[in-house]
Amino acid sequence: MNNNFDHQGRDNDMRLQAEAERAEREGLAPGRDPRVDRYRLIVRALRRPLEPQLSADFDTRVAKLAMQRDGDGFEDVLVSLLLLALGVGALLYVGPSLAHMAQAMVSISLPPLPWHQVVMAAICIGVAWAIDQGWKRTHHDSRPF
Amino acid sequence: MTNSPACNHLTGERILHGMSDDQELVTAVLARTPGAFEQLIARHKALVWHVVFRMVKHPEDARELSQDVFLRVHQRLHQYRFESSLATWIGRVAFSVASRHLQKKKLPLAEPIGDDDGDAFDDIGDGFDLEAACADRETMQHLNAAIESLPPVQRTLVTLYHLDELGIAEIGTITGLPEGTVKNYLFRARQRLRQLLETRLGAFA
Repeated sequence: MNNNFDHQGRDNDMRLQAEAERAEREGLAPGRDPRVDRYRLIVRALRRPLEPQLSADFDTRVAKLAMQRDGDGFEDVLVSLLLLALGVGALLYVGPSLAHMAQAMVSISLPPLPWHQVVMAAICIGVAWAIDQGWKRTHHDSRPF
Repeated sequence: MTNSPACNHLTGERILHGMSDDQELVTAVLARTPGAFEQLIARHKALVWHVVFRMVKHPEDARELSQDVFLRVHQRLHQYRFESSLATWIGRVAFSVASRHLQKKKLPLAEPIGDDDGDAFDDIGDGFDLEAACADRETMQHLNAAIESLPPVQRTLVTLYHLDELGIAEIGTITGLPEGTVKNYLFRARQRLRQLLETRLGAFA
């Protein structure tokens, strides 16, 4: 019985809220139902602009910041390319000397390296690194924002 | 409270109209066209501010988080698939950033929806003058304080619905809440505001 009464009160309140919204939208004259008018006052309060506001230069400042961050990314790419070019250059110019040095070292007859194991270890490290990078990338991107 | 067909029609038209604008703007931003991102911010900063400020309440935190929202938008814009309007997508970013901020501070986002329907209208007299109450600075200040006292999510929902004039479905997409929950929160928030208003009006009766 009491539950029924609650539902009636709720339905009534819903109707009053809907009427208040419609009356505000259509600009109807107030005074017909004080209960609707009270909800109309609430609707008006909710439609008022918020105080405080964002600063006037917000758009410019944040856009500039975003571009700077973008620029940082571009700089990273440039630095990477430069390092790569340096690496290739070094190999080209220093490579022959290194080959001579390697030949000289071989002639000293150092104990033979277990090349098979060294290559396997390098592959393992490389695969582990690639998996880690891939996981990080997937995990990062799967977040909504 | 309900989404009237007229209201839905308007919202739908606005979304369709906005989609081509969105596409142009997003393409321009992704192509690094000078001024494009600034234009995007100018177009959507009010919505972001409404979401973030209503959620976190603290102006300084809200300013910083609004900036964070747009930096994220800039960083992730290539992921936007035009499945919703750009405003809704940005609103989602804003809601997500603000929610995470509150969660970090261990602040509750919303009140659980219980069975309590609040009190119905008491018998009130005919002596309520809407225009006079609206012009009364103290009454409006009291109502603003009442809005501030709502839980963060309810506060945000009433603002998105009444101030930004978003539809229930759009609000649901932004907040990730089912439409029924959005409607229920809106109803309860207005009911609570009305009760708080009654307290003030009763005190001055």
